[in-house]
Amino acid sequence: MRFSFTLLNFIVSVLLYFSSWIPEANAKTVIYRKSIYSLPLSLDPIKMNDTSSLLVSNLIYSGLVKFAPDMTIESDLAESWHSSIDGKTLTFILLKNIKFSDGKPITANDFKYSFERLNSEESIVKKYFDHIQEIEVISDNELKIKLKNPYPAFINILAGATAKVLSSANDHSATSGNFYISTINKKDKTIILKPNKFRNIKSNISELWLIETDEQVAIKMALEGKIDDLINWPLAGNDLIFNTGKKISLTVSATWIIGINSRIIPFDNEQIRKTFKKDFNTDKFRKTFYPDAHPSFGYIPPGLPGHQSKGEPKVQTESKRSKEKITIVIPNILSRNMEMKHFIEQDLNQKGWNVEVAPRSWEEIMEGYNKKSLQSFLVSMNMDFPDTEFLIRNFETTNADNFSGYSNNELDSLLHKSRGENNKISRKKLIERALIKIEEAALTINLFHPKANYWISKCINGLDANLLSDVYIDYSKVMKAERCN
Amino acid sequence: MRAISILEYIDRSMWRLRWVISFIMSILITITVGIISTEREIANESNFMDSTTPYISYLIEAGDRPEVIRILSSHSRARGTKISIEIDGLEYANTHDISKIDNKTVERSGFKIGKNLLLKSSSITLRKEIKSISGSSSRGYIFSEISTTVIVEKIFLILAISFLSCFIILYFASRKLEFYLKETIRPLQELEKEVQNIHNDNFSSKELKFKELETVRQSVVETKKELNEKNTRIANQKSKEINSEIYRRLIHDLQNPITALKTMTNLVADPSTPKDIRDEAISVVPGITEEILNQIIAAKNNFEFDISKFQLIDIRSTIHTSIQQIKAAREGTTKLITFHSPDSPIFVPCDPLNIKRALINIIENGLESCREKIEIKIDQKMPTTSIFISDDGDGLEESKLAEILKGNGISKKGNRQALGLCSVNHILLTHNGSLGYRTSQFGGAEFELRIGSLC
Repeated sequence: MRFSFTLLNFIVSVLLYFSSWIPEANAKTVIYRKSIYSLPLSLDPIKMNDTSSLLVSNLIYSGLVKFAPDMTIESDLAESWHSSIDGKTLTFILLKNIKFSDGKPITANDFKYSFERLNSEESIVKKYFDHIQEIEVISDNELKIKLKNPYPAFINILAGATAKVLSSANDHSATSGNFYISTINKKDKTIILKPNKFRNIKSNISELWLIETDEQVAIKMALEGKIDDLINWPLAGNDLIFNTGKKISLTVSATWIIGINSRIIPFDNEQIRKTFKKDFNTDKFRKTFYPDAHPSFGYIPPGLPGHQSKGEPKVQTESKRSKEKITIVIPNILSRNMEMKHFIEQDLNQKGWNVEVAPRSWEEIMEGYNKKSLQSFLVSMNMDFPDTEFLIRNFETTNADNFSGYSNNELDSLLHKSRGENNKISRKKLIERALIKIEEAALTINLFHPKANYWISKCINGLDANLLSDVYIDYSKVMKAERCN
Repeated sequence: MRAISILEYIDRSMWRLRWVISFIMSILITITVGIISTEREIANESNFMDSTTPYISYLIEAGDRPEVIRILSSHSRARGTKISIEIDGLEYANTHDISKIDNKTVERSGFKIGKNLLLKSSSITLRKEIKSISGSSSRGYIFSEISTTVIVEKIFLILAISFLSCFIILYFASRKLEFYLKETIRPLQELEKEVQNIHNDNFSSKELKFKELETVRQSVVETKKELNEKNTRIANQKSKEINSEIYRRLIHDLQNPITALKTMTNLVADPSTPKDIRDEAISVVPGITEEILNQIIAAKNNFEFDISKFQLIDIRSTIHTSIQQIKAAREGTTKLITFHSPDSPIFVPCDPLNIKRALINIIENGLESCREKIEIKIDQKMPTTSIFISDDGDGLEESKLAEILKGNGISKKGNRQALGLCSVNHILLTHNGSLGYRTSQFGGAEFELRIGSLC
């Protein structure tokens, strides 16, 4: 009898062992559908300069460190890190047993390879990584990043959405993030991501669908239960969609502007730019379209050096208008883009301007932005890391990403000095002086600092908003109720 | 109400002291420790805020909110607090709800202590002003909210140790106190023993430690001496009274037989007495003479009565001894002797040897008369103590009892004269008592041995 029982146990154990090889046929597929305003323009971190790409980058790639919801820095693939006394060398120890989505180990060599690419000439984000002097691999799990100069904010850049690790051994199809790309369906404008089984993911999501729509369609789909979050959309707090689902409201580090390209007439004339900026009724625009947003008195969002919480700096205001045609490009994915068009055209043209507002697709806008061919454009400047440096560097003469085409030696000098200034108050003063130059040059019309109003389905739990940007929301902790699938 | 000893009383009282008071005191001390620990926690938090606010102020002026949040979050994680900064009525930074940042702050409700402390049931909030480095007009405050749950978690171990140590110390202190209390009343126990031993013949008294108790002891000893002397005087007087009574009774009892003897003698001596009457008179004379002799012998025994032999004894022990003696002499008897002995001692002033003799006599009579059992009970109604001895035999004719007690009756046992009952009666008379008789509840005889007071 004892023998029979033992034999039975053995048989059951063997069956259970082999059954673990069989795919879980009964496991329910939980699909999370997220509406985005654009598919990523690039999947290569060195070519990412738009939020839609950065959002996907943060999902499919990992870096050494990352931003927690409150903008604090926490470990991603680095187990620990420390800085040298002179502040020029950062040493990182990697976590053990970290792997790409194909199961190959992630080593310090992969980071060296990835960061050197980010700092290469082909990188459009070189402006952030050109502080790097040298990357030294100590062992498979130890890495030293040597900087040209001490730069305390560099850890912020490493937590950003471009400082990601790619495999040095293949074509980058294996990724290091919490998710990997399973399918890209260009026809349906959908990317399907699946959880990377080599990462410790708490989410029950089996597939994360990123679906490109415009705002109106996204809201309609959300109302029909076909979309689980509208986080990517700049919804106003009083939007009717919030009668359903859950709402998360917070002030993120972003600023809405109308960028002005000084390369293109009539904006090559500073006086015209100043008058144009003065004539734009930003307060009425904010109250009409995003009434819960914070008024903007400057270019820098709240909580960062150089932010203006009261009144704009005084700008020389001798009016000079032009009859030259001015085209302001705005994203056509915004649900109220036509209302905005009419509002801006009516408001400015009444004042003697010849303005045409042109709604365009996101790809077209980004293409024009990169080619510096847009005369003026309405965008939300989101931040890749929480430092004023990220935004004001756009106005540096040598910056390839200088959308305004502005060149001013004094401004360049102030920016250079601010970068090397360790005293934070002194640095702030340098930044403030630089911002006065920028404001005096009238390179941006500062519309407002947005208040993010995130709509998420009632079926979703564990979604923590991020104070920096929606790009940094960690979906690996998000749970979806299976009944809502 | 049952009387309890002082030791028992102390035991009971100290039980409350040991448990209830130890528990209540431990709770009170633990609460005090809790308040002190909470105050320490608040002081620690306040110190942190005092030391941090200059740097926070510096960071705020530098516009570096991310760094402010990092510092606050780091401290918040380490200390389990919720920290927020308010500047000009707007939430500048916090560690727990990023959606509130840059929104208007809501006035905090709760019980305010001073300007900078706010108490709620769920939390304690501290406030510190952030002083501007550059002297800007902005008013900033840093708030640190310490959850009461977090405080309890932090100080729980301290509270638990405080409670347990206090309880153990107080418990053992009360045990020690009880010990000393018992030590204090030990002379009282000695005094109790002294008083208890006062009835013993070989009573000897030792000096006590405490003055008050020694005074009591001396009073008791002196009282004992005086009592003895008075008892002796009373006994002598009583002895005379009893002897007179015995003499009076003897004369009374002898009056009839002597008259009868005189009549019979006259009949025998008178020559005119018919022969048959003379012969009958001659046959009666020895019986009458015998009766007179018995009366005299019994009286003689009673005259030998000495009241100085009287002692205050526990009559229960005398009955037990008598029963044991009878059982020893009648080994193998199947008859049952049941004594319903009371729990507490019953002290009776008597001559133990004579009372024992009387008891043995009645019990033996009962054993011979009974079928199966004898039952013995005691009833004390001061100043008389009655011992009831009942059997389930045939009993006596109550009409003949008076004759029997005079030594004139015939016993059913062995057709003997009932001299035993007569002696018993005399013994009881010497104890100012008497012998009573009635039919027992079992249908046999029930004798009541009444022992009275000598006073």
